[in-house]
Amino acid sequence: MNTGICVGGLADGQERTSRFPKGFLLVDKELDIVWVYNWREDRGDFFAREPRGEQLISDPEKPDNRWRAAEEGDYDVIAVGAGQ
Amino acid sequence: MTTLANPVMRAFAVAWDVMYPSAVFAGIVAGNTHVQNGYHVSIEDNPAGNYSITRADDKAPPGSWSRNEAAAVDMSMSKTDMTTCTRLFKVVWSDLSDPRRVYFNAFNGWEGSGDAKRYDFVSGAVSTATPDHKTHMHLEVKRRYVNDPRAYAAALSILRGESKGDFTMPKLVTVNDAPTGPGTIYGSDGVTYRGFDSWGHALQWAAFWGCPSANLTVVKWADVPALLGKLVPDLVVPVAGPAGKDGAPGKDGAPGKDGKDGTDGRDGADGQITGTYVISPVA
Repeated sequence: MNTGICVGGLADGQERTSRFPKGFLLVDKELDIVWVYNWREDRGDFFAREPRGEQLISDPEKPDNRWRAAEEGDYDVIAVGAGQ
Repeated sequence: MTTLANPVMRAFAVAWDVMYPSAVFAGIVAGNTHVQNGYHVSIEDNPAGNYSITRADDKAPPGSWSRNEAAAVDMSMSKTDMTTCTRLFKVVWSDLSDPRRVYFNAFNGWEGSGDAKRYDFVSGAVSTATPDHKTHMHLEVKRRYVNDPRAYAAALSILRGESKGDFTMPKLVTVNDAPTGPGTIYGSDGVTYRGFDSWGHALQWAAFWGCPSANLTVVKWADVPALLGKLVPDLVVPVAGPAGKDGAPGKDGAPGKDGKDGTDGRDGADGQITGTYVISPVA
């Protein structure tokens, strides 16, 4: 697990933990937005790929959809509001 | 060796994801650096003696169930939905007479304050779970039932907030040959039906289009016209194919004395599911 402060995006300034090596997806399913946080090993933090968030892809037929992220072992998937 | 995600379990995860507004599917099979043992890992990939492969309903052999599939689902949810789901399962965990509990080994959940907890259905114990279980609920299905649709019907019943008295196991409907292949759409009656080649794909499609899983059904293609606009509330799941043919009779014994009874013929192989699944979208 990696634990660190989030830089940018919805979780800016929050300490988060990812169970997976590359970081985590912070998913707002109701608003169809996702923030992809990449783990930065050298800084020990999570950096938002796009501070304003990105379009959430839920269609299992499309690439980079959230089901695939959940089934692969690179990124954790965390719902907005989880644990808080 | 590898660990796979059972398609019926995956379909259940999709249904759970659809059911709660904040819920997002967070995995079945352990990732590369996730804990490499336990219910997110198959029997054959677990180290010998691991806690998840030693109980009677998990151990295979002697059990004959799947050895290459994971047996746990992770679902991330908001604090509100986590609290709801945890409390619903906790009711079942605390009631030894609830018939739905038989399918589950344990779950990790959080009620919104304090530590996340692990609730063991088999031992009845409750213990502290790791802090990441404040952000996702972890549900373990006994490995015996990983491929059993009834386990997921029971889980969805719990998640819907049904009491044990309200719960009835959904009917299983035989699927017959489909006139056309997956992806067929019938629109002339004003209701769109779509065929899929797997239960998992059907639920994923339903999730994408916002069709409640409670309205999913498996039907005979011949019955489609009679179902125009009708929403069937049961969650229907894949069924086995038709029974195999009877074995050939044994030969008669030699004349002059009673012959030995003929040996029973071998059972025929189970029929394959030849149809596809039809779902009825919400009108």
